Amino acid sequence: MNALGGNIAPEIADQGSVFDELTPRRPRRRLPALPGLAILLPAFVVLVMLACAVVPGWIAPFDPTDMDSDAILQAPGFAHLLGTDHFGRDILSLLIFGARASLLLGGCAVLVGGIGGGVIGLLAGYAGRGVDQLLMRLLDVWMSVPDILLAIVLAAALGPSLPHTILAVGLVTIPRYARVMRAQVLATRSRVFVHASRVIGRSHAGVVLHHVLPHTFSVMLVMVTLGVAQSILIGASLSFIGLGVIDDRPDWGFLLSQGRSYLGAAWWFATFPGLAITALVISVNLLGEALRHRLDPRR
Amino acid sequence: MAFLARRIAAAVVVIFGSITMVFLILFWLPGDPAVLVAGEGATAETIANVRAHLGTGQPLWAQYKAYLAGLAHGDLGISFQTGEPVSGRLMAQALPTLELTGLACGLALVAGLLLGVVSAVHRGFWIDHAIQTVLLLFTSMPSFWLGILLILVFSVTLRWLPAIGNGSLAQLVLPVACLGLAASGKLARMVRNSVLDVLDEPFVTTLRAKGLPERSVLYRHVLRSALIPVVTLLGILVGELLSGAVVTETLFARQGIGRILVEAVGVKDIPLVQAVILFAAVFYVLINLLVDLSYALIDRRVRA
Repeated sequence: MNALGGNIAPEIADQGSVFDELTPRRPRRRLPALPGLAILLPAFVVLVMLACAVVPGWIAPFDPTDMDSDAILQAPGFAHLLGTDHFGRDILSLLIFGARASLLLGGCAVLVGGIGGGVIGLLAGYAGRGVDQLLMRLLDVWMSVPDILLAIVLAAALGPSLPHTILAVGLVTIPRYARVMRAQVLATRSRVFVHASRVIGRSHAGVVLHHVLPHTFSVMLVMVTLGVAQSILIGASLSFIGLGVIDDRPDWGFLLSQGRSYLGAAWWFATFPGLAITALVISVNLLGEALRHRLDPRR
Repeated sequence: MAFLARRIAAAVVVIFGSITMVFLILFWLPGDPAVLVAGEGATAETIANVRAHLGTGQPLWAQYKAYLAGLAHGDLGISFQTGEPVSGRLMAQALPTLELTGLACGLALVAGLLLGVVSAVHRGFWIDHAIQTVLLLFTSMPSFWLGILLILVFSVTLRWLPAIGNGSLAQLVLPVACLGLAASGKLARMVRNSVLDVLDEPFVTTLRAKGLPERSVLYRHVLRSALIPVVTLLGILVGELLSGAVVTETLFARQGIGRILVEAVGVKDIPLVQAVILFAAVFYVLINLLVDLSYALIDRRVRA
């Protein structure tokens, strides 16, 4: 009923239908405006990159492993839109095939960090003071080593491969989700309806499932969306340093680090991979911000 | 005083925890360092000797105890690769990193405060939108790409500044700009939010109602309360700068702890890795301790 109340019901009510009796008259709210360019453009960018990640072969003009020895370090032109690298590979094709690694990394690292952090935050917020203290001290320890330094050590300890990079980035980002989750759980836990639910005999598991978790959902959704962007950045830094994905599959961060050696000779080599990372991260960030505005009208 | 003692005790516990954590992670580092140190073609006997010498064959608990005992005497261990004490290498490399992060911190603070305050005061105007766009760029681009663009513009095209190395002041400009600007994005957004929050407070309306000129409302009252939460950001900023320094040093081929960390991880020089991480953790915890204490000085409500 509530969902109808705002937009549709008044029009029907004007024609004197039964809804007249059922819905209280409310001032006519403006129809929600069409999503602006600030949402459409980033959504488009993310969709294009998703398409690249799923079916790179349909989109890329060349095979990314194709080395054209006649076209080494060629400037952007009609043959190679974004130029070629030091092996004569087409950079546009490398970027299209590299989308998969970045998106997989962003998506999966967020799952690791979000689920890990979510569980820790829930425990810390709900299980009582002792558990809370213990978990928060552990998180303090975890956070005392700055992001990328910890990721470097973890990535080195695990060995270079995509799943390991994902795990390293996910583990490093656990505390930020845990803290937000904990704050949200603490705020919900002390609300009257939670007490009431306990009083009428619902179990702790029931309370968590039916009352606490739903109240953390919107905040965590925003965190997770922004987390995709942060994870991609940390992963790209690891690749850039040379600790990320070092196998045959193209990777934006690794391409960028290779292009760094040719800055004087081939500006396009390092510029376009960086542009790809930035475009993806900005788009995800904008979508996350838009989501936050939608879900949390106070800010 | 009790507050002070409690905070310091907590900081010591956290540092002890990070020593232990890093020790455990590094213990699982794949590959035997003894094999690497002994070099190619070493006999099994040599490797066993090297392992006994390095002490990496002992059980975890014994190694941990030995490491803690060394730390208690200020001994960070002997580098697997060079055979020299790690502390000397760390001291030598810490200076360039502190120089870089210190200057970058200054730049980030100036840029962050300026952009944040200007954009909050002109909320909704074109200048706010322009600043927001720039800040979004700063927070979304990888810092190393910003650095590469800076090199392309100022070193390759204009030939104004050197791209790599360290020593001269000119060689510091681009790395500091890269690291500082990248970090200023988040700072400016938080400053903006903080100023906007204070502008919404009833006391601001009161001040305006009693006829105080907008200028003094802003500078004498709003900024003063808005900047208190910003102090806590300094702690976060330091962590970000240390993280960024690793990447920036690699990009600009600078000396520093980030660079030796990457090298040491590559050759499994565990004592060196441990020392670098310990240095970063202690630095980070100390700065955050200072931030907490100064926060308690500024805002007495905290000291409960």
